[in-house]
Amino acid sequence: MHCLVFPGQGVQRKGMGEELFERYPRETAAAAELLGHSVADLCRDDPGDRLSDTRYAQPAVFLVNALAWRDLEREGRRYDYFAGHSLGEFNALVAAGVLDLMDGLALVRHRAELMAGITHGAMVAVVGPDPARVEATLHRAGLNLVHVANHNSDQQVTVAGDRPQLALAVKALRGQGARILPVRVSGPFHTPLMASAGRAFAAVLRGYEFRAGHTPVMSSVTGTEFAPDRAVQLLSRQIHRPVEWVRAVRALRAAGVDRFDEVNGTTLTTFIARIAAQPTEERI
Amino acid sequence: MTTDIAVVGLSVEVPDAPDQHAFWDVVRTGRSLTRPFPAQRRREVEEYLRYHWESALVPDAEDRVEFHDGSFLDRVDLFDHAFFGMTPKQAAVTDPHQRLVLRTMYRALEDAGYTGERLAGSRTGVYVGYAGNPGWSYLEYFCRVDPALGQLGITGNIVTMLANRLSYLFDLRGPSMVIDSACSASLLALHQARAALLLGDCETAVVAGTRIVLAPVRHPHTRIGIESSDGVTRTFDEGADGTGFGEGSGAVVLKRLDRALADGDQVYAVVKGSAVNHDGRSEMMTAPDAGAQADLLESAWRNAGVDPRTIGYLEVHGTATRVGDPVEFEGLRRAFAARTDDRRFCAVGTVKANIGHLFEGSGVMGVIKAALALRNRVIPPLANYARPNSAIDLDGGPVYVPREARAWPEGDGPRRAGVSAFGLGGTNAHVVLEEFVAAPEEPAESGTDRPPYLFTLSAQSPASLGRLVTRYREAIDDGRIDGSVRDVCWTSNVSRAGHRHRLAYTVDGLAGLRAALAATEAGEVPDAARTDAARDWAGGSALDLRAQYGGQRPRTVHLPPYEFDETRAWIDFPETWRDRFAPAAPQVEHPLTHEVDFAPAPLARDGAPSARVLALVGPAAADTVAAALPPDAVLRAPGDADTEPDRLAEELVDEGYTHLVYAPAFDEEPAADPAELDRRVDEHLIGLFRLARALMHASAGVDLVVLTRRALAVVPGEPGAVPEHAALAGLAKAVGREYPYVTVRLLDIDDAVPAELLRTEILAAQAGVYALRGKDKYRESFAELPEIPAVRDTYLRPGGAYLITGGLGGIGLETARHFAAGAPGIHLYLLGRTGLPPRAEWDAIAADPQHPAAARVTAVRGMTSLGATVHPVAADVADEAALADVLAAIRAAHGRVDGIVHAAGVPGENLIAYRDAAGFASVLRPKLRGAFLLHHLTRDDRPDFVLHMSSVAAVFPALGQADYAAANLYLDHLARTLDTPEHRVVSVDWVSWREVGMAVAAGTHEDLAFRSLRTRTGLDLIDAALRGDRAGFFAGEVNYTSDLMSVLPTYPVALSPDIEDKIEKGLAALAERTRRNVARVREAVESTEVRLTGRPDGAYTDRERLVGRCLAHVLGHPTIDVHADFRDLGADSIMALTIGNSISACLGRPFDTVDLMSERTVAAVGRLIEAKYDTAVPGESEGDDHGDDDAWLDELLTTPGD
Repeated sequence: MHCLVFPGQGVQRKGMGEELFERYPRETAAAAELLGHSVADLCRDDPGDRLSDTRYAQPAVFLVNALAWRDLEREGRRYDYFAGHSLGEFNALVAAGVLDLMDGLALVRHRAELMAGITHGAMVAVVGPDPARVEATLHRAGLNLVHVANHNSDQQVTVAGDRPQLALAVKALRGQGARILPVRVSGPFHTPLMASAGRAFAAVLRGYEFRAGHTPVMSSVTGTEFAPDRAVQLLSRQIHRPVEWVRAVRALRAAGVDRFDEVNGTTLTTFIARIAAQPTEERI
Repeated sequence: MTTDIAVVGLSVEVPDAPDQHAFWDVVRTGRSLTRPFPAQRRREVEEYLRYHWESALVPDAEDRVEFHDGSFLDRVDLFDHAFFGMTPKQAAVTDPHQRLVLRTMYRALEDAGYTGERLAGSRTGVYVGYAGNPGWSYLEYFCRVDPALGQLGITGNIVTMLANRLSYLFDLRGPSMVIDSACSASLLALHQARAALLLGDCETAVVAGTRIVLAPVRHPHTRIGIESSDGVTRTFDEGADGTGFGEGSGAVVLKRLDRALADGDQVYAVVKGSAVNHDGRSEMMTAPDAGAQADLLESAWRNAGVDPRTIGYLEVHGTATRVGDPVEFEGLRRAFAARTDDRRFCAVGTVKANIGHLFEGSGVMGVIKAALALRNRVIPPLANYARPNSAIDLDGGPVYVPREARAWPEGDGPRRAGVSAFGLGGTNAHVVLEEFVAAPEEPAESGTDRPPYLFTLSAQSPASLGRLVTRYREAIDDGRIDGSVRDVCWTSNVSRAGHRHRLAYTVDGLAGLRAALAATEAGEVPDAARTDAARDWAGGSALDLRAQYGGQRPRTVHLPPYEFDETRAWIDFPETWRDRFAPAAPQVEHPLTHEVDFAPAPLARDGAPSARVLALVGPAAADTVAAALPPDAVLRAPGDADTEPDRLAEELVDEGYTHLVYAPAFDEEPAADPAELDRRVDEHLIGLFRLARALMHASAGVDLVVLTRRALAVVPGEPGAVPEHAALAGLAKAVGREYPYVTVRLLDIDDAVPAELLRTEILAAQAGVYALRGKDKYRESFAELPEIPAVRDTYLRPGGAYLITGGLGGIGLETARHFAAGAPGIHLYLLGRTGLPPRAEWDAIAADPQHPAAARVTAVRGMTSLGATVHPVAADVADEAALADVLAAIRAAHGRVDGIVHAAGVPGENLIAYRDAAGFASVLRPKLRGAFLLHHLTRDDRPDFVLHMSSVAAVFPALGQADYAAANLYLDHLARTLDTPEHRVVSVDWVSWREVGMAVAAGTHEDLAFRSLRTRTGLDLIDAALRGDRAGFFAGEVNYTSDLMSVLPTYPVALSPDIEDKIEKGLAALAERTRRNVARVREAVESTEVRLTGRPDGAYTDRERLVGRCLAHVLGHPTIDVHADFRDLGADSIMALTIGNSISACLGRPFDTVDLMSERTVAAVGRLIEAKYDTAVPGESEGDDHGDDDAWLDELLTTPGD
């Protein structure tokens, strides 16, 4: 079985989607009207480094992901599952017929506004130690404002939170032999520090319709199939809960998926290649 | 099938002899290269050695630095980093041995005619004889200069990289390894390579050895015992007193002879056979053994299938020691004697007399010497040989010592030689070589030789190419190029054509080639040779050079080696080291123990006037709470339908409540039985857990006020306490930690607290654990406890019976062993849920270290040997019936339980938000219920002591430890309630133990905010706890040298002023260190000189210069093109982080390394800095500001290199 996966914020780069915007002028124009700015111009010129601003980055990635899927759809490609990493989950829902493209974009715009509203946070990628050990180290160090934010692969998690505590976390994790790389996001995404944004987003979500869809979507929050009737809870929690990408991929494999395709880069398939068939080590 | 192995290429470099011709000249003329340690190298290491000695714990009496004489290279600091794909900085932190041997191995492969495409992907093996010996290492040296260089220098200083880097650089797929058997290593490497060729592990093999003596210090403590007094090696001479140091490197390239001939390779000599053995348990480990050496020679001869009488020359090991030389002579005398009585037919010598001893590298040098002797058909003299050693009977033996070079006479068969090398540890190797006699060329083949041919030469830099032209011209002039013009051109095509800078001539003879080379040297155009083909190829066209030979089979011939374009690659030792390496301030001792108590606290002055309060109040608390709440407060009784946690939480948010008061637990008396305890835990404690989780799920932001009545013992022994409710305080603290949007306070009151006062305290914005007693207020506090006075000498009774719950866990076993050693003949009942396998299986288990119970069985046996009787018991401490049975059994056997250690427990493992009630309860069970049962079931025994193993989590709960914190706080207050002088109940809050226990299992036993405890220290503290008279204390030292101490003030626990002060000072000291580091980075970057290129007008912006300097500082390039991609300059992601840190330091504000990775050129990053960083917040540049961003920056800078 085949699954198509959609990446989230972080894959944006200047020049992204250039041909797609030309190929889909109608969607591109509609998006510009909804957003009040042209994503095509934004991706081409990146004025004032706006692509690193969550408010602009999320709708841009969403639109490019969605148009890339349009390409595949036109070619007649069919998938047995869709899944997305964080923001990419909205693309998965659009592809699966749960959401309209423009509803998805409107939601992503709200989401981006709410998430960008929580600042003073940062995120780093931690490469090396077992994820359980990363978490144990953060906890035992007495830190309470940093959390594991993404379980990306067997060797990589991201840790996000309050900047001063994140600096302490980096020190403690390096003591464990981890390699630390900065990740360019503006807030402590996917941690309890985002709870208020999650709550506000729930109110937004209640105004939208989530259809049953024609293809299952694997949730990156729960690692189970996305239940449209629980959409409000799942998508609002997604903001302040860790991205359980490893769990989602394992669930997809357990469901029989043996091939993963990705739009807009190879970030997720690279992670997937580093997720072992079975958990190598249980939590202690 | 033949087992002959051909030496198809070689390269050698020793002082004064940079190539094989010069080396052979040294050997042939019998010169000795011994000289003083070169002045420049002397200067480079002298200061460092002084520093080294002065910084020693015991300063050395010697203050003069004296060096041995020896055969030293003039320079070991030069390297062509670009040729070997390194940045200048990487090269400068690469072990000079690696650089030297790389150069030599490359030249050997080139000499064999194999480089570039002819080599890439081939099954070529690399075998290097080498050892990282004790003493002065380059890594240690430059890490002292700058520890941050360690990371960059990793691959340059790992020993195996000596071989592996060559394989990596040239894509060689055969085995690649470093072999160490001391002084026989590189000969053993040859033996191994030969075996690999014969086995088919590889098709070609490079064998190399190298040796550099970085600091040949003459010092009594560093003598090995074989050093010559004057650095001169006098093997077999009466004046021999040891071997001199030698430096250099040598490499040979081997192939199977049949393959070599088929491939048209040149053959220096043929390896006929080899052997390796060990002295075994000889007289002394480091002394040679004649018998083993004789056996070795015999094996090698047999392996080679040669008659020893045909050996004309023997390259002996010959370390020129009083012991070694006669032993070696005796060995070869015996070996020959077994086969022949002939005398004085075999010449002996050793290259050590010429070039000194290269230790691990010496064997291959002997092979090169012997191969060149065979090729030149000359028996070389033994250098420094004047008077025969009187301990050796040369005349009566098979060998003689040649004093001058002489032609090697032809015998019945081919000329043969042997080479020996013996390792200090007893591993001996011997190789048998034979001259190669080429078969006469087939006439048909030579008939097709139709010049002219295209001669090609190339190099990685113009300077290298220029020097190569001269070397080739000189080689022709000196008659050192032997072969037809066809073979010379062919060799130049297949092994000299792969580099970027090229020239080519069409030539029909060596004279024509010489003329073309000379013209090029003179800057003229050699018109005749510049054909179209030559111009095209030199211009970069891809021509099939082999096509010009048609069906011919040209041969590889020896040509001059590559000329490297070398620059200095060395980390200088700072002359200012005396200032920079000032001794650190003396370490201050901090107390190991702390007290957790309740300190008087000021009453709150006013609460929130517009509070909207919702209260969950149990019946017992209803009156008290109602009186204290604002009139509009909403009261509900727990268990009512409208108190379901999730609904309640939604309601709190939707209705805009500001305070949630939780007061279910106002019991008058402690629980009388386990059932009542369970009820209270379930209703009150797990009730609070559910409520907190619901608040989190609803993203509620309220003040959570937990009210209890006499749950805490404000002072030990305070009457009327109900300690199970103290667990609520542990949970309350954890909730506040895990969910920063609620402010959590626990107010523990007595009946004398006035309602008005209580209202103010309920509504006041305060976090933490407070006790109100009448009109007095106390707050949980943490203070230093310098000592715990002992009031009794011992707490164990000889022959006593002791119960340890969790006794088969890590800390439980250590405690049990400590007890076993503390009093004679005691009985230890070690309780664990899984127990131990039956005693009958113990022998087998103890013998199998992989068995999961092996360590436990061994520990238990250790206690038995101390005189204790150990009773492992499989029982759950929280199981009332099982525990009662155990206690009954102890009473039946001993009359009484003399003491109890409650060490059972499982760690908390998840955040409240993700935890279910069953998981939460499972952590409470062993600790909380277990402790209750232990006291409940021994209330009539009154043991001498009950020791609670509590945790740091009771005071400073970590995330994910809500359940664990609650249970441990109960243990603490239970002890404060029950402790009496006759029946000690002591609770110790342990920080992580370093060597055993839960933290080790979780991998978090390093020093964090507290230093982890050594087992020995932990056991001493158990003694202190049970000999003293405190109901408890906190066992752990604050780690005042770590930034992590800054988490302590973020807990709602009152730190004593002295601790606050120490933390403040400690953080200031760390900040100062960071500031110094930043300043140092900035200083180093600013003093880095770099020339920017890439713009015709030569105009560069300040930001470009800054980025250029940062880049040059990390990568070492003297010039940088502003449009060059960082990755092409050699930067990887780790270096990028270091470069980013340098840019941050210079900008005085955090620079995002991601920007470096996305922009990738000096020009682009310079522009980005102007656009993004310089405009954002102008004026904020110096490091005084310690806001969020600076902390982040500081963090990355204080640990550079990651």
